[in-house]
Amino acid sequence: MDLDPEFAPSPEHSEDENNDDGKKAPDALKGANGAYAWEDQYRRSWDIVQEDESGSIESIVSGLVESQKKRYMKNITPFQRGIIRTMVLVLDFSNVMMEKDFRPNRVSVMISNAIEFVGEFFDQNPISQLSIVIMRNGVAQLVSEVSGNPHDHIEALKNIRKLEPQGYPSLQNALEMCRGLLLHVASHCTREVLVIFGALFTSDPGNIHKTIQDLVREKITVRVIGLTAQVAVCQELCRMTNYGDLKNSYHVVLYEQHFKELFMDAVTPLAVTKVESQKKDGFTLVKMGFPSRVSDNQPTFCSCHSKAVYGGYICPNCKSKVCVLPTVCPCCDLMLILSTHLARSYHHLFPLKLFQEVPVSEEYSSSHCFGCQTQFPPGVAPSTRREYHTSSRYRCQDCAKDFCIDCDVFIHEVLHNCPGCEADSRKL
Amino acid sequence: MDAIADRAFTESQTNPAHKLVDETPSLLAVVVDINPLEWRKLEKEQSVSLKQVVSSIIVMLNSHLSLNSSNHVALYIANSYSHGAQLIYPRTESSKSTRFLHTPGMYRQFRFIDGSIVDTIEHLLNEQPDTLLQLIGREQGKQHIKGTLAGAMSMALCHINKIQQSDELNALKSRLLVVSISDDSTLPYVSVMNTIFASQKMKISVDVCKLGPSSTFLQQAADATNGVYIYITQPEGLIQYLTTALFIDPMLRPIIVLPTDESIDFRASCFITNKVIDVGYVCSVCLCILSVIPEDEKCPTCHSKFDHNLITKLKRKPKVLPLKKKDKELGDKNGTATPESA
Ligand SMILES: [Zn+2]
Ligand SMILES: [Zn+2]
Ligand SMILES: [Zn+2]
Ligand SMILES: [Zn+2]
Ligand SMILES: [Zn+2]
Repeated sequence: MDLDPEFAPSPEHSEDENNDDGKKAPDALKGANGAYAWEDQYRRSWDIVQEDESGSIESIVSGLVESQKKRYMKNITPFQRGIIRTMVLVLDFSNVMMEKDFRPNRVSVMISNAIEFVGEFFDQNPISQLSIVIMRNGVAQLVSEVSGNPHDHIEALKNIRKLEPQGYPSLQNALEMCRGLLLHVASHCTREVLVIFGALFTSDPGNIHKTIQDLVREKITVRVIGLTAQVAVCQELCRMTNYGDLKNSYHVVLYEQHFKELFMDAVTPLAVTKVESQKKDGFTLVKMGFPSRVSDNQPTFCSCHSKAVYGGYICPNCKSKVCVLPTVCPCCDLMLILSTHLARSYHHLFPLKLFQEVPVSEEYSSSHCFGCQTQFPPGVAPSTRREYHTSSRYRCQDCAKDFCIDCDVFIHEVLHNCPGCEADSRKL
Repeated sequence: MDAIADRAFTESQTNPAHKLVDETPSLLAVVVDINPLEWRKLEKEQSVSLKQVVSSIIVMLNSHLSLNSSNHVALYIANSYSHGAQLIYPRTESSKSTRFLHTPGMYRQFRFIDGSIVDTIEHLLNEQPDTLLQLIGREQGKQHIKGTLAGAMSMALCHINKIQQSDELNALKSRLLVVSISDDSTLPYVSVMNTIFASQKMKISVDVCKLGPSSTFLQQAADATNGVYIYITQPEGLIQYLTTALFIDPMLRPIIVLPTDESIDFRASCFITNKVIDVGYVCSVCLCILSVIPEDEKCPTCHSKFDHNLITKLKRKPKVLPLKKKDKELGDKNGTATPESA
């Protein structure tokens, strides 16, 4: 995997090894030629490409393309996860966000990523809630209230595109606002804050360490995505609010695509940590209603917005009509959802096993991808084998069917079922 | 600068009317449930045979192809006992045969599709009786078989995904039609739900043509993906349904009132008792749905221990408070007794 410069170890683990005085690069930080990864020369993908003996670069290019796609491979061990989430997204809107190290500038990249994040967040966590806060001119400003409707947040984010970043950021003010927003969240929901922090400093009115203590007491988990470099106060913030787990909670962006990936990582619900599950006296059971949809010929008023609408959903408890789900019934306080909303989160709990790459050989058992029926490349004789040759086959360990990389990525990122296992009528 | 770019983007997005002038080619993927036992039942009850249905489907596929020369079709079968789910048209090269010769007065591709589909299904069904006998011969034959409709749909989605990814075919719009006959008990819940969400995310409409018992899951699938769910009451007229109500091109969907059911049963089924419920309890860790609070206060699916205080709170029956409280000295504590607990 050393062919890809972006796989080089990131400088963000430095806090673990900083006892080394920094004179010699510790192993974990070494790039390809022994220096720190960031001292390495940037290797462009076209430098790596060499022609094979037939003068064709096709096989090598396809190998490279596949290695790019393999990035999704994550740790998929099943966890107990906090599925019902409440998150406050804190965006840095101080003047450092005008920097042009991302194109066209930091703030517009951040907003487009945030818009995508909101969509994905509600797609995967349909019964969760979100709120957005910005840090600008030394104060925290509420952009959108805590709500479960993605459109509100996306609209709000589109509106702040017109706003120009200004002044200093205040982490403390933002965190205090998050505390306020998360104060009334029910105990079965997670309380999370995701901070996008572009600056290297924070200008606070008071003692931020006290705010951190309060966050810990209120069981609020804070994750930070830094845009420039690690900042000590963010390190402390993440370490304290994540039971010492800094590695999964504080990241610094290395390149533009990485920024997006870090954002998307926050979509997956947090695992319930061991510390947490031992501390708790038990998990909660939530009473929920599964309303049925009705259609009327005349519009009637909904109880949530008092608007006249055609059709809607009837609360099974009090028979009042609501127009959007999921919601809390305005009359009887029962949480109303569709069973499909719940089912959407099931793949976090029953994750699909990763497929294994089939080793390169002369003969393969399969000629076509089981999913899309694309033809696989034929086997390669050992004499003509090159470093970047791949079998292009990824095998499900349960049904032993082979898939191409596109299907593999699609199956693990979107579909979450193995077509091979599902297509077999025998019970596995 | 941003604002300008933004406007240009949203304008082209919000004005679909302009795009409709252009006839974009589309892919029609059909999944046919050929569960032999269910077809046998249906043949007896409603006098419709798989043969008739397959010929109606072939007519549909051919008419789809005749609409635009770059249209594509794909046909999958599901619930075949011996083979599970598989693609039967287009076949990969290895299984292509050349014996479908030109028939005078017939578009060659039609001849090819008809021949290959009929051949494959016939071949499969001839193999079925043996497998069926074996399965039924066993003590608990049903235990060894699971429905594969979700598998066929997953394969179709993989194929569509590949098309969406590819450069030359990405203009191709796709949709999925499911011709189902089995009931919901043959559908693995989590897998079906996963395919529904995947199609929703890919903006693929799932149309459902339902014969036999009605299906809540497929109804939800059609609803979530802006598809059509039609329960066929007169299977003799199937061809009519297939070529009208279920023949709406993806590009026409935004402007057509879909001929689908409006009221949908969204109730959930309890994980323990399998009863359909409208109010239930949900485990906050694994989101399983329970109709009763378990005795041991543990989640039956993920074994998480529930908070005892909360359980007692949930178990408490509703109380009816007296409308007006009398003098504190006179009213005793039993004044607020619940009618149920009496
Ligand atoms: Zn409303
Ligand atoms: Zn209600
Ligand atoms: Zn494939
Ligand atoms: Zn498999
Ligand atoms: Zn559970």
